[in-house]
Amino acid sequence: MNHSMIPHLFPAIDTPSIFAPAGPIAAREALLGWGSAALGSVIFIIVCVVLAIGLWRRREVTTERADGDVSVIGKQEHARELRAIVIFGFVLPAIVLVGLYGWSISEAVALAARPQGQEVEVVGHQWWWEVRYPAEGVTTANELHLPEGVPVRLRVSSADVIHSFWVPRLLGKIDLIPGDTNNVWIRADSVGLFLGMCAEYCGVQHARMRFMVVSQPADEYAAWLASERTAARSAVTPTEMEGEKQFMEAGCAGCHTVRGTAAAGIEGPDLTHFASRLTIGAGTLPNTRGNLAGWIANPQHIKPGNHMPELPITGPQLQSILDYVGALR
Amino acid sequence: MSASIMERVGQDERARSVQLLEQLWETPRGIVGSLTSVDHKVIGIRYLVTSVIFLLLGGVEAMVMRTQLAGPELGLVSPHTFDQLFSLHGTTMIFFYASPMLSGFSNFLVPLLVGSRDMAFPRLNAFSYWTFLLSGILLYGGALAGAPPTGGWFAYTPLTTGPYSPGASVDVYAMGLLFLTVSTTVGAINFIVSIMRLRCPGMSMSRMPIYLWSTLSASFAIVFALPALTVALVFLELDRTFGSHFFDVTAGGSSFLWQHLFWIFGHPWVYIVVLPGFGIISTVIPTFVRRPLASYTMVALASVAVAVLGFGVWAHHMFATGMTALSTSFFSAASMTVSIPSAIAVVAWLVTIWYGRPVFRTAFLFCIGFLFIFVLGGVNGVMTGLVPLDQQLTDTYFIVAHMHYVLVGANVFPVFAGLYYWFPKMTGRLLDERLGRWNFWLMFVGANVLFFPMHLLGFAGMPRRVYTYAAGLGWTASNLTATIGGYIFVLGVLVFLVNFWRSLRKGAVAGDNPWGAATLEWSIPSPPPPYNFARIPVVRARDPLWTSDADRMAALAGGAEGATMLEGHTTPVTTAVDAHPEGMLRMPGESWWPLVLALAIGVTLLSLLLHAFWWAAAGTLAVILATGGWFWPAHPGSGATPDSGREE
Repeated sequence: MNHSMIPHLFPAIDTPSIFAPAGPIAAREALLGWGSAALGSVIFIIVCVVLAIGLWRRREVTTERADGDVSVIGKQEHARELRAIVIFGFVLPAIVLVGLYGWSISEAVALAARPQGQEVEVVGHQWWWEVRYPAEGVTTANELHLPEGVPVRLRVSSADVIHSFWVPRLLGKIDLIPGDTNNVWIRADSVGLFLGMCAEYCGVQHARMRFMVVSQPADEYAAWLASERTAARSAVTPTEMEGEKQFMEAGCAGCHTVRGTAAAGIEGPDLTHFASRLTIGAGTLPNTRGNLAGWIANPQHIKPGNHMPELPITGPQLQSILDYVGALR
Repeated sequence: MSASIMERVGQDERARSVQLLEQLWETPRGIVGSLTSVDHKVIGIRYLVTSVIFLLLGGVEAMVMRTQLAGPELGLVSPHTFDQLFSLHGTTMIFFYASPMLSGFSNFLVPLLVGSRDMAFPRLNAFSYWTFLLSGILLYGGALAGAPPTGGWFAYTPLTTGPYSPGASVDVYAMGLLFLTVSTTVGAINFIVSIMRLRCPGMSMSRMPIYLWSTLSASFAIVFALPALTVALVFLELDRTFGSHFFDVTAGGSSFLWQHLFWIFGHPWVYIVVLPGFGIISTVIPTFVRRPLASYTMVALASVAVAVLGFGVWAHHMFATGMTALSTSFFSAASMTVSIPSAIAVVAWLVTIWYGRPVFRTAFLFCIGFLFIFVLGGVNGVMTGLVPLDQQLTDTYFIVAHMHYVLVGANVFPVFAGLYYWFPKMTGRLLDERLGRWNFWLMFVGANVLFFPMHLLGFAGMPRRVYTYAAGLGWTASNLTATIGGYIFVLGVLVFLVNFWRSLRKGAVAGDNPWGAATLEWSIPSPPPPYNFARIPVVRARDPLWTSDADRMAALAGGAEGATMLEGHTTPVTTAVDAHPEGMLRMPGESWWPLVLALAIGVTLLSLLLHAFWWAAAGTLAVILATGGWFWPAHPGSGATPDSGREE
């Protein structure tokens, strides 16, 4: 696998750091992170300093007991040891832990509030994300579009094994569990692209199960949603029409849906507006014509073990399919 | 003056009794002897050597993964291979290194620490080793035959059920572990009974070496934790082999059931593989600071508390599953609580060092390294106990950092401290100190360079169990650093192997008590004779070899009260709390049955794995016959009187 022709897969994306929150939930989580990491570091440094002094401090000369017994510790010494252990091993840690626990619970309570808002369904598949806007009848994949600054409720579940939905800059993890639905909410407070990924080992391509959160200004978001709501753009040029025919006959339609056509497969991602998406193969490659050609011709080479088969298609057939799919805006 | 007369009388008597004891306890030489031996020292050393081999295997797997992750989009191994590697690495390190390694120490040490001639059930002890070895062979044999586990050491369903993991790989994992649980369970029962009933006269519970408290706590935890794993594995195999629906959500099964069962076992297991490490640290530190452990009582209670509280924290592995806020807050509170006994132990070690007079030998260096690494692993562990933060940190490299700080800190470093400390007792020779310092510093620096950057990777959003990652996400430098740290760590382990090999043949002769240590194993020759103690010691203090002359002699020679116990293969039994003499345990000699029974169970499980059900039936019959042979009444007349003798 050589992707050296793509210098950076995600040029528009910063490090998905949990300490660069872009939403209210991640912000609370990050604050708890900074606080506990700082506190932990202080405790760790104190222990190290005490250990170092304990190892190398100057010791006064003591006389041995007359009977040579080194196993007996004087009453006073013993009380001194015990006092140190109770204070530094029990009382202080208990105070720190209770405080930290109280803080984390108050954050958890604050996060438990569920604001009203539009509902989006996310369904995990090996190894891609199905994203549905049920009120609008929109289905897309590997991309979650959000209106900037507006809370959106997520209902998440899985079609096969356990996955976990994670956007480090917006939201901690929530598992996608077959036979069960989890509810969370998400809000992005700035416009931009945020990397999301699967965080629960889900099989051989767990590493390439990524998605994009696209946070847009309200009008842009509305326009996107309106466009997604429409059926697929009809093939216009002769090669597009040839491509559509090939798409239906070569086997693509068996797994993929293109709304408004006969293609109604449900094994793979909905491709109705595929050309408007940012990546191919759940964040594996940028969505360019060249990458798409490589992906259709040889999906097992690019993402070994994924469920997309290699279809026996000729070069010209491939070119026409590229024309067709590449025009599905 | 009277002491010297007593010593002379003692010497004459000892010469006669030693001759007799040697006849009674010597294991036959040759292949037969080594296959039938029930000597706890032989078994203990076998456990240690086998576990180190598994450590090396797990280490090689880890280094292939680290090399693959040294840069973005590398293609050293395929995604499939990577999954196999991390599944094997976790399974090997957790089940076939961390716990058996400590069983090795306990096997060697428990009878010596309690002043007994063997474990309570010597044949069960041999059986426990053979099942451990055979289960490891089953796992790696399966892997070499093309079916290595791919579901991770945690094997979450439904990924590991039939539809998503066809083939035999999950079955190899499940059968291998089922086999191993037999070994671990009987081993733990043997430790419990040996510690509770074979302590020499006078060694009340409040006087027993601190190592025994940690082993006892861990052994009880094993007995209660392992059944959950056994049940989970049996359910999984029933689903996979016979089509039951425990984990099949489409037929009313549950995706959560496995997680709960696995972590009810899995989190106590973490404490099981670190508690005996605490025991080693609590033993080695006092020896090298020339001072008894600060507040023995608090440290002993802390061991018990960790083992008990460890059962109440399992769901902190599941904070992202969508549990109710009430459940998560309970398990978060429990996770905070379980860190308190560890804090008590850490402060007790610090206080011991503070008031002691440190002697910087390699074993002690590993204790210092342990404190540094383990405290960091405790602090970052508290962070993962905070529910909202854990939802960010779980399943990232931060967790990889955390658990390696805990396990390398509280298992590997104590184990190396223990190896440097007891190697002389096991072999009669000292490990080289100069190589030892290289060993320590390479491992210490390596571990931190390897694992510390993983915290940053977790913060930067890198998930676990990915075979590669994209460039441009800010993960490359930390990954490369971690890989370099891994190679430094490996160098440290190689230095140990060289040291081991050289010292075994050319090391300085150790003598009985090279460290001037306090516990009973140092009162006898190195390596100990097959019968351990010529006279059963009588103990009147917690640190018998550090007490004044009278007590020291009592410990060394058995004193006036010490029994030579020449009436056959016997060792004294005492009361559980106060260690008053109560009777004699007649011990079995060499036996083929442990090996035969282990093989019979192995054949049964292998047949089930291959769906050869007639063979499985034959194997089961062999298990029954071997058990019968094992319990067949021994030939009478080996010396014990019927009323005082107890059969195993």
